[in-house]
Amino acid sequence: MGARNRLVAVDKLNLSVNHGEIFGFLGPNGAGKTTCIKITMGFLKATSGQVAILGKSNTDWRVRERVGFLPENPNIYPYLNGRQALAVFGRMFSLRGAALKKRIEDVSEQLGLDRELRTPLGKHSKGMLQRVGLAQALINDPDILILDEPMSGLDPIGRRMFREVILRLKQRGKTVFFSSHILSDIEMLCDRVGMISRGRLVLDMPMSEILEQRASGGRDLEQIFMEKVGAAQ
Amino acid sequence: MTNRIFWIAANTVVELVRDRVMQGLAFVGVFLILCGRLIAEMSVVERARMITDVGAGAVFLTGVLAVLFAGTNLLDREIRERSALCILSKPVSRSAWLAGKVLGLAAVLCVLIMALTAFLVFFLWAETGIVAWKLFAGGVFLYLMLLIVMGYSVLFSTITSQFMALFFGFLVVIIGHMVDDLKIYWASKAAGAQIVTKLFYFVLPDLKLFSAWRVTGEHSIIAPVEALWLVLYCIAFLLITLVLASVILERKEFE
Repeated sequence: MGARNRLVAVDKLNLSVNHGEIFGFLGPNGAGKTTCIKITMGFLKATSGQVAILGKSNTDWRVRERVGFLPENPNIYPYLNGRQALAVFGRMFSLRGAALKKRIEDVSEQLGLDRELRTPLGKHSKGMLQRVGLAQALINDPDILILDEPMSGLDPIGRRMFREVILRLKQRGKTVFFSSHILSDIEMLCDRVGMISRGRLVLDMPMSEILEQRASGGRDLEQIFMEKVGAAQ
Repeated sequence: MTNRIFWIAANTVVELVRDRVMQGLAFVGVFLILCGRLIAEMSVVERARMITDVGAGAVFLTGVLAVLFAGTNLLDREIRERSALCILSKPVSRSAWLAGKVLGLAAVLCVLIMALTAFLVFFLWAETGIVAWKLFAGGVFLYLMLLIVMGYSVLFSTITSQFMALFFGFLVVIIGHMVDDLKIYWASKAAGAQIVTKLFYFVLPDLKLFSAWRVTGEHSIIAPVEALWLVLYCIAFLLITLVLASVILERKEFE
């Protein structure tokens, strides 16, 4: 799927993410991670194949009631402050009045955004925008979270906070799918790892198996990555 | 879905009100209306007539520039800057997003045109003592014309780049004011000229119908039936262009 202008961005990709799972989608730059995510969200159309979210077609906008999405390098209305932007996104889920206010307070507390919500988004650093981006993805308390390079631009404190948020979501039975090329983040967070290289899925393996291999003196995630992706490159 | 459209429209209003270009255009409009005094002093034509002419021209020019700039930028900016990805990842269809954005722009245009018209009426009264309420009728018809141009601008912006959409938008405004004259070329022996002029005649709206002077001129009074017909004419063109834009937007890929 995903052929356009003769460049096959993603090819023969067959992938499913289980309920309550944290799935790390790993691959080098230009491997096709963002293309896959955009196809999943319905922003790009695959030339063939199907994508289903919660058993429904990804093109049905109603399915997004239960989905949270963070695009790569989010660019949110620079003329609004964080609180106003979160209110706009919350209203898209029919949140109103006290319920909306409470939800904004909850997500801003989770992400350490309390004071920053009063500053216009156009004046925020990349890391702070990434946090507001994550906050808008969480505003509807989604069952499925799809995050494209969520750690990009975050400082060590931000990355730690992000990991804590993801782990809390896992405890609450949420499903998280995120792309990254930072192996340590994937290792710390994920239940399962998918590796993509040149548009093809080259590995789909539970994290527990990778950790077992490493414990028994076998390959670690980095070695597997170099082997699978390096070979394909 | 209606609520979501409303909130998208409200956000669009905030976006446009805080846009420097839109603010600049509003100031240019006021400045051009004030220029009417200077031109009236240099002119041999009746003072009130001159201020009204220059003022109506200023409101028209400001409105056209605002609708072309904002209309072609309306979706394009959000797609280009990728903020559309955040809003379209919510339970909002692309058509609803388009409807919200268009409603927001229509609201801002309404306020802009009516505020400039009110300023013109006040300025004319301050300069000559004449209270020309009928200028508001001219403002309403100008607004209807701008809604048609908005539909075309949004449609063009879904097909091509903002620059080209702006260019095509200008062509619609210019040719739209000459549509009736195109009939002359129907008798042309050149088949190409016949086809092109017939195409323009049937595809483009006759914007001259909404000319402010048809309602603000000295002896011109527009009949209620004709006014109703013009409203329907505007709605028809707006619906056609926006439905086409919506169909194209639904198929558009967000790179």
